[in-house]
Amino acid sequence: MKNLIRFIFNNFHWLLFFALIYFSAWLLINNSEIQRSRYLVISHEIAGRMHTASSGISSYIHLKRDNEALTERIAGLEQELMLCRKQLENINHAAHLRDSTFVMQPIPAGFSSWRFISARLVHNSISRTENYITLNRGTNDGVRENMGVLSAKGTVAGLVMSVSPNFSRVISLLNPKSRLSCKISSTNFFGSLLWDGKDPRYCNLGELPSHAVFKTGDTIVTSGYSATFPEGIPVGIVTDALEQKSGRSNYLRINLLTDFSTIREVLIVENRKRDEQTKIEKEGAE
Amino acid sequence: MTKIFVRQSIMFVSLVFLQVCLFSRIHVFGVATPVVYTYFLIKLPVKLSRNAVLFLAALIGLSIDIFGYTLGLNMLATIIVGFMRYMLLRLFKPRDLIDNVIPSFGTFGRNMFFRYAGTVTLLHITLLFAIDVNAFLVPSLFILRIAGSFIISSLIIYGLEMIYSGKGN
Repeated sequence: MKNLIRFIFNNFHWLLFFALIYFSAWLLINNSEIQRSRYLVISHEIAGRMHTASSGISSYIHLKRDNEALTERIAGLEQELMLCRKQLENINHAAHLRDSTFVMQPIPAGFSSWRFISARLVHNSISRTENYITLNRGTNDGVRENMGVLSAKGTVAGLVMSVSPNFSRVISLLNPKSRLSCKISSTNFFGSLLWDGKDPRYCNLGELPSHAVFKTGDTIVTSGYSATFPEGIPVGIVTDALEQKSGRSNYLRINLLTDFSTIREVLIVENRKRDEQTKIEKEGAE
Repeated sequence: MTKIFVRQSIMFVSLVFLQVCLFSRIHVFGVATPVVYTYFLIKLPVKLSRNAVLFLAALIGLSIDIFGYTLGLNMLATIIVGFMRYMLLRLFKPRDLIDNVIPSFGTFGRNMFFRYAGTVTLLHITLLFAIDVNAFLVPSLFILRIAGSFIISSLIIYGLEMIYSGKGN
């Protein structure tokens, strides 16, 4: 008995080693489920706060470039606004000329089902095989799970996976777990976008029908089927068609429009009619 | 003893902070990321008990994981490194060492310290990248990442050691 106790005592480091290995492997394997759990909300908050402090410094350093990007975006929006105004004017004008009894229907306040929440990145990774982003907005700001995330340039960046009161975790497009329904903007053929884990600048568009028509340089946009993103949000540009073993080339290499290595400001997209859409889709499936 | 404890605690906190807020965000050519917190494991006293080394290794790995959102990944790697450190020390430490010293240029000699720190760093980085299940999908990228990260990490660790031993003198 004495010998046994001495043996265990002398070799306690083996026991400790295997216990710790078991614990960390358990953490690693259940990672995505734990990420969603309540226990981690606290650690999310602590880590989020620390990253907020350090990203404050780096966002100051990048102030100039971010300002330029924002101004550019404002210019683009301004142009679009002008175009819309002109079109509205034309409609009004035409209505006025042809039919004196025509009354313009006022656009109802809740017309657009999309709402945008601006957010800043506090943590980002691009070098791992599964990449995630942390944002400085959480449930307190109205962020919910499964909302879409756009870069400041208006291109797709990812999908909200879990939310704590002040922070949210986003599955980046650079994650094999993320699948995005996309279409070729000129021909409307749709497929799903997947990252192969190699180059953070490129993704693959698969599940395209074999008769799909495309050419390099075509823009890939969101299909709008998923209730997460509005239709027509730019995602990337076709650079190459990858041959499959069967000979059908229905895999496209996409150059992503979002530069994940420099992304700093984002917009979270809320679909106010999401619940309605998912509910009816579920009912249809039953 | 207290002096060593305080120094190690300060090193622990500052290395975790530096790793999470600075080094983990660096990706040279998209492949090389410095992993510098290994320095804490390298600098633990030579005769510290194996249980304590294991515990401290798990602790620093877990801290990096919590702040880097990579639960389990760094912890698993540091536990294995902490366990192997004993064997590596037997290989590299000078035979005439009697006191419970901290590995450094002064106690190990420049040459032996280079080898010891290099081996620990290489082991740690290889484990870190190998634990990622999808890492082996692209073998060339896997090797490139290990090589790139190893070179940049060991350069920084040697730099830290130079500052450390310079201050000591």
